[in-house]
Amino acid sequence: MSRTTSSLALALAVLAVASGCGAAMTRRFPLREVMWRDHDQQPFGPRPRTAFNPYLWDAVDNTLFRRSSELFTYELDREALNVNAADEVPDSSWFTNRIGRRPMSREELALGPCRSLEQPPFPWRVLRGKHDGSSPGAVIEAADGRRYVFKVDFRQPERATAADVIATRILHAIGYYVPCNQVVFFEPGDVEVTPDATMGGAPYGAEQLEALVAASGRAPDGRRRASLSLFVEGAPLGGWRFEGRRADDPNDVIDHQHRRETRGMYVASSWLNHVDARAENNMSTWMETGDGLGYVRHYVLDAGDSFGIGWHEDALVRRLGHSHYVDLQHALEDFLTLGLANRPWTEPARGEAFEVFAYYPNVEDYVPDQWRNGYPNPAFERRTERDMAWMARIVSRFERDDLEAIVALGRWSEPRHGAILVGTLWGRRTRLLERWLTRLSPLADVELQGDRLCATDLAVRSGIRGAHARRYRARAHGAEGRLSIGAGWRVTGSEVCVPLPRRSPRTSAYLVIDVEASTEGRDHPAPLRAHLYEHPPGSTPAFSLVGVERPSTAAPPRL
Amino acid sequence: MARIIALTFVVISLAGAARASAQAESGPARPAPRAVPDYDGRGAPPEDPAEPWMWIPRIATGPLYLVSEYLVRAPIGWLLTELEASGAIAAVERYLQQDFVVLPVAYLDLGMRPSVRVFATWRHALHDANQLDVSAGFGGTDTLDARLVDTVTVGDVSVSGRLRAIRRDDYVYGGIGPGADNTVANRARYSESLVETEARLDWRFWRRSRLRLTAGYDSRGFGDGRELGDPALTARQQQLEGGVLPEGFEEGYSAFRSRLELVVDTRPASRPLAGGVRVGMYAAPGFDVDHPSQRRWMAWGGHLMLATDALGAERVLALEGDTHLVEDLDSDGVPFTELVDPGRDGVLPAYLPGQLRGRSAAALTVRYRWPIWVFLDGSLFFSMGSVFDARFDGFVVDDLRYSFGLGVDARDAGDHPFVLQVALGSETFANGGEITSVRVLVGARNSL
Repeated sequence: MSRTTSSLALALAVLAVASGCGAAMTRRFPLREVMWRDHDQQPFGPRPRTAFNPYLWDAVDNTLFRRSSELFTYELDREALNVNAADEVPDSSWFTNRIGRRPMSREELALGPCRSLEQPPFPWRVLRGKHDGSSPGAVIEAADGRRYVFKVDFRQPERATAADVIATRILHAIGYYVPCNQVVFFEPGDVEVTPDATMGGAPYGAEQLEALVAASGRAPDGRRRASLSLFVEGAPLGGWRFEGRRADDPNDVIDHQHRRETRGMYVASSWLNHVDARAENNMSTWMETGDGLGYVRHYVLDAGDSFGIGWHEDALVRRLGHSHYVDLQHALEDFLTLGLANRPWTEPARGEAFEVFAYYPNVEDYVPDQWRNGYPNPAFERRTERDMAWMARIVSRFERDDLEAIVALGRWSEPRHGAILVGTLWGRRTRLLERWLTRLSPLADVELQGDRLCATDLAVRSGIRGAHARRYRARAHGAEGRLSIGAGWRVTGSEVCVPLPRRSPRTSAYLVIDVEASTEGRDHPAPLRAHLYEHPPGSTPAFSLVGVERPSTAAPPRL
Repeated sequence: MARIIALTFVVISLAGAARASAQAESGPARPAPRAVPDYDGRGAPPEDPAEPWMWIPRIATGPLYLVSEYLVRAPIGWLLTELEASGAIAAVERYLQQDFVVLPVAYLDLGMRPSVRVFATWRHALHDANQLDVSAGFGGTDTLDARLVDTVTVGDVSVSGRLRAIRRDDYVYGGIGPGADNTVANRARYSESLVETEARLDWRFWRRSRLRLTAGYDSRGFGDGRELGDPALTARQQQLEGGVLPEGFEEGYSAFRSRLELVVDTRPASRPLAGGVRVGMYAAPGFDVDHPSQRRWMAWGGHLMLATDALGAERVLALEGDTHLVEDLDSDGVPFTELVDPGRDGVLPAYLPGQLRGRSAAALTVRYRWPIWVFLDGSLFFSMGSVFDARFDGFVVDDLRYSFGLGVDARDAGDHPFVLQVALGSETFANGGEITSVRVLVGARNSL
């Protein structure tokens, strides 16, 4: 929403509250299981049409025309729609809870969506040249009969091929569908051209392949280096967009800009500096289930721009991640202020390995909520604090060893480059957690352990806060008012458990527990609000946890 | 208002019909969308209390939305998408990366006729070192020009041949010298037809330093201008100067001219905005080929710029001094279009070309330039200067005028650099120093 529109909306919202519309009862959760699966993979037919991705129009529209029209829609901020009672996103054709919901081994993280980390067998036969996207490449078929997108580095040694693998592994661990990518090595003779290979309608021959191979980097042992991206499952239907819905997919009932995983991708993208988060780098595929029926799955296909893409125009490279390609707001601000305000792109330092990562390692210049991708993204624009906190909770699960395991997949010829990338990812992770894990409650993994309500303090678990400095406080509320919480608190490392009050109701009674986690002198976010039912004495279980909220204020619930 | 509403309904109906038609063509019937799941079990969230109030501005600005969404966004989106889908955009991209490029541009200098222009460049034309540039401009049947430049570049040296043919009837004449009544109210218009050939040698020898040698021949004819609300030149002269027409106006002239220009610039060639020193000087003798011994002149002058990137990050503050003189080497006088024209030459950019003319001119400018985007810079300037008689004869401070302006310039000054500028210029202090000149520029200049 534009600033003008926001101001107007705010003014009218204040007016609405002033006119007596502001007070509201706390919304109760029903006594039911938390929805952890969105059944949006129900087979249907016929297969949706393959949508064309207009990359130029997407950029122009999102930069100018969409935003111009939205000036007059006066859209109010709203929370994402596909959020379950645990304040999380259920598994769907878009997203699968992984590291955010369960521990992942280093091996699992490294394997990602792949079945194996073995390099596909030679020979690799070029079926067609790749003329879209920014990396030179080709579509090949390996001796195992599987098809891959073959890409080589350009301009920056090893970054693009490594990023293709590392960024998608991180996105996979987070929960997105991504292709199986890997860094591979080959000799020029391992790749050959099929007689009918083409590129953009023109024949693709040995000369083009030679140029592609010549552009590829070399490993220390002299072999050539590239990345292979295995064709994703299903038949391609075109890139999914960050707004609207597919009219021909009956499972697609939530506007994409109001899905939490598309909004939350802002955090992940800012972490990786995946500036190219746009429709052309996504892919919907038709997953055939038989009898002509199927469903649509949604992939994030290409994140090879991550970790500091470089171009010949340094003024543009300096701005990546800080300003849109065409950022009318920043241009106007810089014009009106005569450029006197120092921007992150004004004079960024060129650190070690600049030729590989450009300005990405400048962690101090990374201001998480000021990050901007290549051009405006309708889902990112609608992000709320809760969407960001959700993704921050997931990012907080990555430990340094996890990142080292994933970054090693880049098969760096210079190990120092891998270490720099791990350090940068870790530093940016700290900064984004500092921003998005400290304003709403960082308590997560809420569960009942007997007559205690337990949660993990992700601020402690992630290392951004020390356990010794944390303060915890809890309040219980029933329909009859405030309830007292007895003895039996347990704080172990990052886990905090609160004893639940007992009222011995005749029928299941509603109970709300607010648990605050704060650090004296630093952050004091509003509490985690757990919604429970207390069952009559003798029932098993004694309590049911039915909902979790992370309010933005500490005001008590009105039950 | 009723028309707007009616139009709005028509547009909505057409858009709706188009969509319905598109859906009808989309193939077999599909199952209805599934119900939106109740993700948290609490049903739909309550409506934001501010939501009903939003309908006030929505209705108030509804026509703007409809225009933006359906008259602008939808058709442009459809067109660009179709062009991309057909491969036309990719073909244009490939075309732009190749040796032959065509680019349409437009240019508006408020007070002059707006014009559109097509540039065509053929890189490596017939030879790797050769480039051919052509431009054709149109601003009405009396505002036409065509330019052709062929340039051979070998290392730091380039040699070009140039041909220009221009006809315009909106040139400004504001009198000559510091005593001329060259207020906007007293300016006149004249037409000029020009055919010019020129050979040019450029040697870029160090950083942004260069030596340029040119020699050329041109032929000019003049007449009264007719447009843009100002009187014709002859009428102005009749009214203000007893009917005396400026030198060269009546009969036109053909001239042979040459120019030697040396610029020493310490700034790096790869960075348009940087601190440094630029010193330039030139001498440009010329003569009327029909009266080679009676009408000869010599233009000469210099430029000094001291620039500092004191704030860092290419935020450059510069102090610039310019002096330009034209010497009359004989007794027949110098044609008026050979005189110093600080509006035309960019020395005092707040004034239209031709508004100020003199035998000499000087200006001192403080200029601040800073980046606002990858390819654009902001520019702010304040100038003090004016035109004078020969060799600044009779110079008095009261003959100075001041000007200032703000604008946006393309960082890469190619053959058609984008410019956006608003500048204000004053009368001389002797005439009160009031702001009387407003110059607004927007578009792509022609630098061929």
